[in-house]
Amino acid sequence: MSVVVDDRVIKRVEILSELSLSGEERAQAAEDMQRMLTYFDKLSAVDTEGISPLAYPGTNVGKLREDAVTNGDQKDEVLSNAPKTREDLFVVPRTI
Amino acid sequence: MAKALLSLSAAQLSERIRNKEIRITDVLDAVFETIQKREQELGAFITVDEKGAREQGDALQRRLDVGEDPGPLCGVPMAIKDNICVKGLPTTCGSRMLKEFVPTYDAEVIKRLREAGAIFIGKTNMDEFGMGSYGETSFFGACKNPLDLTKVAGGSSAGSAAAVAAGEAFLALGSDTGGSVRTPAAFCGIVGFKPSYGAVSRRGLVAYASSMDQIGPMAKNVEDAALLLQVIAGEDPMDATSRGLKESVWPIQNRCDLSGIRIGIPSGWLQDQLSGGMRQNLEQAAAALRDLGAAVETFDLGYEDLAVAAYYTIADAQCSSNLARFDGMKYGYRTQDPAASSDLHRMLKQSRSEGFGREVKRRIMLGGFVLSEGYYEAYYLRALKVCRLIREAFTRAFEHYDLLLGPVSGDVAPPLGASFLDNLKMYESDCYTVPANLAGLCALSLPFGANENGLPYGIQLLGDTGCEKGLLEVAALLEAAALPDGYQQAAYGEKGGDLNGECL
Repeated sequence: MSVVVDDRVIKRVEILSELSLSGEERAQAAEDMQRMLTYFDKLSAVDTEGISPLAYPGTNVGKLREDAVTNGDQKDEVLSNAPKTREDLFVVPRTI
Repeated sequence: MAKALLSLSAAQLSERIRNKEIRITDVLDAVFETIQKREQELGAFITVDEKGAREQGDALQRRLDVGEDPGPLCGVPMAIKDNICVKGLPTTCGSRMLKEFVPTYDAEVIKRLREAGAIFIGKTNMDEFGMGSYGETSFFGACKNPLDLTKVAGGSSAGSAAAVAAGEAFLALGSDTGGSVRTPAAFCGIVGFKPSYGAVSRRGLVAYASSMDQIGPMAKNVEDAALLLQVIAGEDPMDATSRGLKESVWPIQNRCDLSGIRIGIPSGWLQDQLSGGMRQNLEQAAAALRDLGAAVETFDLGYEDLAVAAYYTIADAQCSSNLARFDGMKYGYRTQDPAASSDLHRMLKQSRSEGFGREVKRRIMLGGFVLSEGYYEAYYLRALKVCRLIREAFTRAFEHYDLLLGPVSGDVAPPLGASFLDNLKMYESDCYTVPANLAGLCALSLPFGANENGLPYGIQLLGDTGCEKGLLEVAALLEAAALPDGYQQAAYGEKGGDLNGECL
């Protein structure tokens, strides 16, 4: 699959990645991404008809455990990692 | 005294501490003296915790003194890669994003190590979030190779490898998503082991690419790697993909020879990328295995040329998802730009843009793209299908061979700055290591020979999923053939072994 990485693609990827790039970074990102996607194109030459994707190499994925709280009572330690807090709450910019 | 102490292996050290021939405080004196001497030039650690280590050491010594046995790693100073959570110690992942982050819990491997009596001396430098092959993309600066300060230590578990090679730690933990334990081990001349996917719990390991991440031992010799693996491996209800080891791996069962063992070398790994020196050492390793009685031959594995493309498609896709959690809200870096303080979305984007380095942003963006509408099937899904083909190729190979043999990298450690010259070239250098991660295999990096400047070559032994025991037995025999006088500690260039009563 041949993709041309232009400014429109990079802006879309910025939105998907929650990043904001400078003009210089954007140009470099386009060049880097174009090179990698061209490199990835070698995979399209492989016949994968009827092949199921291998999402995990393990065999026991999806085991369930009891849904029990084992690490409660750590409020102060958890809050101490926050960039900004007030009265045991995380403070973020106004949303509404 | 310090040199003699530091030349011991972890297994020897623990035994002598438990036999009360050595006091833990003397070991810690030697280790922190080395750190003080070497750390400024190496950059192996992001955090050194001497106070905490001394407290752990004192507590263990008190238990020993009243006749308790704190465990098989009693008093062994260990370095921990800085993407593995140790309660109360910063866990930065080599990133500005987590520069101030202090975990509120121990990773499962740390819990197991505490129960075995290990002492944590600090957290080691690494490529940012594990994204790099040479140990140079850390926000805190590059980690240098203790054998030659003009060369890279290898990545991403650069600091862990450098710390063990320099005598700053007896053992270390790394994590291996595409070679991040094996490559730095090879460049620094130590043993690095990537366990089979699921052998070791990933709980408390900051995720990069969840279907391939695996914590692994980094050690002076094969025996120490086996001991450390035995301690950290096991099923953990908090990691649904964990299943532990199929068989106990320590103590390593001594074999007289390798008669009946079949070893294959994928011919696709013997192409142009391999330097003359690496090729020669690989041939010598094959000859040594033959001398021990193994049958060694080359064979056509298939898909060798596709592994890097499949790996980076999958790894980047998964990292774009895993790193989406870093938003500067509940923890992690938040921009100080006043203009972003009143706009939630702007704050999020700006925090991420300032908090992540270039290589991380490059991979997040590429990963976001290959997962996006219209491209998911063409890139990500296709890469997962190729991953299945690669896994099937290994399944066929292991019907004929007990183990596979190959290089860890094409050559010895490259000069500092290699990460920033050509990113695709750096990715392609992972071609020998990523297949084991794609297929969930176990694989070990063993120092075998050196170039004219004394830089070590690393050879790789690969076993099928769950075949750790046999792999370690063969590696131990090959190690003995390569280093008949015992392991060599890189920074001191001395034989390991007897203290001859020097410090006792």
